[in-house]
Amino acid sequence: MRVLLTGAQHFLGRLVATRLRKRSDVTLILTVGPDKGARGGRTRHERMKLSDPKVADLVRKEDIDTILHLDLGPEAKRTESAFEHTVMGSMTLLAAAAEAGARKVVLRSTAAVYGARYANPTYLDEGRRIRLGGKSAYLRDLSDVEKHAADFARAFPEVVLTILRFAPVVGPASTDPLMRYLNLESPPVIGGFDPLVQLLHEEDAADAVVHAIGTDVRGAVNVAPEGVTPLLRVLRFLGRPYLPVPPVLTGVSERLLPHMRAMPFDASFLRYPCCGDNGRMKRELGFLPKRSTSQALQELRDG
Amino acid sequence: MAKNASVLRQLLGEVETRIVDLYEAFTGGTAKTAFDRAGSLFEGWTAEGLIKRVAGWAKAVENVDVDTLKGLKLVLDGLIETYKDAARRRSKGEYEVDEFGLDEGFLDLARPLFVFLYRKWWRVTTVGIENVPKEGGALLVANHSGVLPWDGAMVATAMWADAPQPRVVRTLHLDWFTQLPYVATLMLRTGQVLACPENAERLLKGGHLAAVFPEGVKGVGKLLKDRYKLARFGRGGFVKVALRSHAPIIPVSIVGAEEIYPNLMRVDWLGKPIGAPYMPITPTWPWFGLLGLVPLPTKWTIEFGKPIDTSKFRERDAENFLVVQRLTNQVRDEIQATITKHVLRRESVFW
Repeated sequence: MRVLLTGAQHFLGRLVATRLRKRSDVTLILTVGPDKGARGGRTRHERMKLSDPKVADLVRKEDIDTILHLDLGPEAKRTESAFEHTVMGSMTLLAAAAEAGARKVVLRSTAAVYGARYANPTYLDEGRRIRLGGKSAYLRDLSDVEKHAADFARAFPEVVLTILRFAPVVGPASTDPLMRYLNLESPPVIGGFDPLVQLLHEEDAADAVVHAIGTDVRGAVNVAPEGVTPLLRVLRFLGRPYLPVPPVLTGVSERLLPHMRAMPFDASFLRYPCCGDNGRMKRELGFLPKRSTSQALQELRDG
Repeated sequence: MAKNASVLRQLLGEVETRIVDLYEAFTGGTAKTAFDRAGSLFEGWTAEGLIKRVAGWAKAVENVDVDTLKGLKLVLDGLIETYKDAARRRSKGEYEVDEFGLDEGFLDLARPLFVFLYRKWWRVTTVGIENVPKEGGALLVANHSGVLPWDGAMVATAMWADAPQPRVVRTLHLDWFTQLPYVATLMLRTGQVLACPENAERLLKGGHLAAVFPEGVKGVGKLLKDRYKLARFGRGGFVKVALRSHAPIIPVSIVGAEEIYPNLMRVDWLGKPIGAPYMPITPTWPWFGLLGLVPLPTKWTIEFGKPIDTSKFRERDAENFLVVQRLTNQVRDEIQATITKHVLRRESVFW
């Protein structure tokens, strides 16, 4: 198996690369990205923008059969180049897979694309329509990628495209939006609201990617652990002194929140639930995270 | 209008008897009315009488067994310790919730209040509770009324306080409540779930006991003059869910809840700015502020009907509007008949 991997400099890509190196059937791990990267052994790095059409030549030349697109770009500072990286980069990679004959693509996404809305069922399944909207530019870009991926899957059925919609990933290395929020000195919460959240451990997230390579599941799959927990319980368990913001004058308090720095995507995620139904993951992907939400939380605190 | 006036008179009379009850409860007296009793209070207002009275109290305290006092202290300490301990664990986040956010420990702490309302405030008579299956998914379908959803809370309390085998009821509520700060959290903690087909199906397939109020806003925001006339049962969504998950439907008729806040008028445009689906005007709301939220102590009857078996239907029948509509009407007619029976039988709204 010859693998092209993006996002190797980030936590998830690193964890996946470590797992791939241990497998004897992987003959090449080619990491691609605009930054410098590590190389050695079967691992090689190509410094290239993801939105560069030359990616297709690379896939053909190196005889890549599996593309793991784990790089979703930075959450902070949605500049034009960040948009190009996230949206144009994903579109280029998918097109390259079809043109150069890669058989399998695993695309990383997030359950946050469903959006946190007051009328959300407690568990959202993959059939739920993804709406472009919300205040977070990053989330809009990710939804954009999903829309494009759905169109791509219809047009090019010869490529097995698996989209993994991850629950918030936590762990010592994670830089997921929720994890960055939990790492704040005093994370803001909205008074009177306590949404249910799922916590997926980073090791389990990496296991899910590696597991998905070996399956022929097409389309989106929620990767979510068993169990949910209220957000306030997470903050209390981790001993974070959270900062309640009055729920009245909602518009104002939400506009103030960005100035108190990060939160997961936008303030709606501090108000309403956005949990993925993991039924398809268990049934069709045949995967179950080793740790439940509570166990992931326990490990996060106790190390 | 004449009908309303007579109910209002009844209400005022009841408020008076409640005050008497409350007074008697505190003084332990058996006076006929609070006003007679109030007069007798001043009879002993001479120095001699006062000394006698104080001496009497002192003697009463003396007569109390020391062990009784110790026992009382022990019970109180234990209670306080329980609440303190719960608060401590909670502040450290050391508790678990189930897949829909129910926090059993929190529910245990909140139950005494609901049992008080159930036993003392509304003196609920429950009929046919043995009709509720002891295990497995089942759907309670009830009439809705009372401006605030106390009826749901009382059905849940009945299943806990009076059922041969206590079960937690997962009430499916309006999406408006998820937008209300604190209320949303309270509902989540006590195991209530947003009403939508996905949640209902997951609950029933997971073997939970769920409760729905298909009248929805039309029922809960009902005017006093429309009491005990069932509104439309939505589009029969609850039947669809029951058919898909093969869960029995149990009709539940609630009498008494429709008078707890006599809703004289709806000025819904006033509710718009806060996103409320309705804004009632009652004799006490909004005139007395939060005091207007105290519900009237009417006498309630809750009757659980015989389960309607849905296992004989095919899953495809859930998409057959006629099948769904027939079942919906069957449930609705049964609840209406039971309600009418109880309303005709009762002599007063309050006892």
